[in-house]
Amino acid sequence: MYSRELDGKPLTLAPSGWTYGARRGRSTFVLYDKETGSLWFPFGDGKGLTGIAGPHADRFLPELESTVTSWKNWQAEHPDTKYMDYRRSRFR
Amino acid sequence: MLNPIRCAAGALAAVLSIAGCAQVIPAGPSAGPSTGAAQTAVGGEPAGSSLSVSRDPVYLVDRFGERFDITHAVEHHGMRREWFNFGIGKNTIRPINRPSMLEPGDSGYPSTSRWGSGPRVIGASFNGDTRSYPVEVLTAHEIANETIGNTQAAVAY
Repeated sequence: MYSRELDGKPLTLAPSGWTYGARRGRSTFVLYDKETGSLWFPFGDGKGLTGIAGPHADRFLPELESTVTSWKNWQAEHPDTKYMDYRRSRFR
Repeated sequence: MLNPIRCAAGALAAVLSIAGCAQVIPAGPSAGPSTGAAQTAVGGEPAGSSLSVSRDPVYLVDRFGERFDITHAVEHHGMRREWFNFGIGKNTIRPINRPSMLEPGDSGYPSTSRWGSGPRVIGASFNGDTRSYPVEVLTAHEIANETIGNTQAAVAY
């Protein structure tokens, strides 16, 4: 999970359709932001997204704290948690 | 569209990207207005500068013909043109924007008792706002643009 706030404004991130990596099977999606068309990539050592091209080149969106676990564990620790409603969500 | 002579002239671009001429398009003087901004943006060098060695922009061209100028990625981040793959188009995989959330007690909110451990989720909590996203859905859509508490978050797996 990454911050998508830059200079106090939110960016809308989306897959660029390109992946990057030495091997196709282990490549990572290159993202772009809809506001400027800049490309963003999660370099392994950076713990965040780095702007690699476009107006936001060399800017940085830091990683945010998140947990990957089972629903059972997450819900037990966070009884008030919301859960994404896939069917009613918007895709653009 | 690809001119072999221009490709040969773009030797530096070829060296930088170690790529064939396919999909590496050196921008010529006849390039359209959309490439003008890209040319001036690269490395802060204005197009047609007095440098004896011109640095041609390096582009990705996807399946819909859309171009991405990756000159900066190649020159400043050491990324290699040939390690970019697929180019399936930037609207092919649709991100999830401001997903709708189920709260405890809502119809459709997952129960724990019957499911065993249930689906794998990514969870986060900011400013007392706690949300979770099934990994399976994020794998399909790659990213969700979300606001959790006061935090603008891009949820990715």
